[in-house]
Amino acid sequence: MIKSLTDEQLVETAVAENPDAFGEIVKRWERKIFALCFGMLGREDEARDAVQETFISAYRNLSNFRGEAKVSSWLHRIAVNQCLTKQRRTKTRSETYLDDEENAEERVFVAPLHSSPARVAEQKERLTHVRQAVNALPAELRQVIVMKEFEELTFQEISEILALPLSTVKSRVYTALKQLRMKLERTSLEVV
Amino acid sequence: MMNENHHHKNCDFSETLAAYLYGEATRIEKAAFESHLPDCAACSEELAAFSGLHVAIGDWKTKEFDPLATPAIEIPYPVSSPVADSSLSKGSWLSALRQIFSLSPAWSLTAATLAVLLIGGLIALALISSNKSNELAGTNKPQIKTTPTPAETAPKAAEPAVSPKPADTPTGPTTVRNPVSSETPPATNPPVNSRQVRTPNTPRAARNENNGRKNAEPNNRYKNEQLPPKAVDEEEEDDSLRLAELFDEIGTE
Repeated sequence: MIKSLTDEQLVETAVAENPDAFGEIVKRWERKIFALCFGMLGREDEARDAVQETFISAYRNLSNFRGEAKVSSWLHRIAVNQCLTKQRRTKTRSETYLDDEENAEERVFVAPLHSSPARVAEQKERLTHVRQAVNALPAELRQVIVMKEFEELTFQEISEILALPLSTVKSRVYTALKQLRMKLERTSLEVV
Repeated sequence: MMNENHHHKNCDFSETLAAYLYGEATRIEKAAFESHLPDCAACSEELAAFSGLHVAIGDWKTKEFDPLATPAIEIPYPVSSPVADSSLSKGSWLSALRQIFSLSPAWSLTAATLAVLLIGGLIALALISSNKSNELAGTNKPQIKTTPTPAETAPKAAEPAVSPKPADTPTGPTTVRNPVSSETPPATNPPVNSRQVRTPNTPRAARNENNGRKNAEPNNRYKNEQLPPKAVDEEEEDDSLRLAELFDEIGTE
């Protein structure tokens, strides 16, 4: 019954204090929102907190959802705001966590079984640079590139979620890629 | 290293390049871009670089994000709905009992079924015992006649007449007169018509017989109330006699 409902119908049902309806919303979007938060923040622990806070915030503001936008757009906006807030807080707490290589060492890295240690180290370094470059992008560029690469959304879907014209989304993705390329070239890392 | 300002000075394929990279360009866009690429080194170089970035970000996702389990989201739902809150807020023994029943619906259903069966059994026992006591009372006490009929006042010659039978007598011949009814005082009671005689205690067979007669003889209801009830054939004869008398009286006048 609940599974056949649209996101918008689920919100209506959840507003009528049916926890199952909101549970279904969480089930549908948690992975994508987690991907967005991970791409935006670059850290698993931060991303987990951000996802949790995103859904709690959404649940607390269910009655404020007016149905003018899609539920997916609404959730993404909350998630992006959560990530930006979290990043701001983290930056005020310490200089920056992006260059914290101790934390980078703790991150999960799945290397191919037959890779040499040198090759593994090289791959790891490369990923660290990519992550740092993405995290250094302006928020409006970072969110589109993360939605494209991590959530694998189409331009049209991103356009609907962010309520932006399709051409603006394409343009932002292009600009994001261009800036990433510049940043990575500055770190003398040949991506290509 | 490429000159950043060089690209797209003379061509405007930035959006198409992004769409082409992710395989979302329309057929027309794709054809136009592919025909443009051989003539534009900057676009070709940029496409190659972006393609490498796309792979690199994909690697990052595959190696660092994909192995991660989706976090278990804990939503602080209210402990119970407002309706439940109002009934359970007092924390009384009743609320505790309700909670137990709400937790074990199968158990509560079984208990409810047993209770219904028990109540039903008690009602059945009560009915059986009351019937037995009625039977015993019927053997010791004279039966009370509820609706005396003028038939009791009529001479024995007018018999047999249809009369109601007591409820507990078996459905036998309907023409047998109730012997108890003859013992009641006759003339002081107001006369009743045949419809009034059909009390709820009339056995089904007798009622059916009466109904059949009513359908066959609709004039029965108009018969004189002063006349004693008679047998079916006599009643019909009696009506015709009375009508004849009336016509005679009119004729004489």
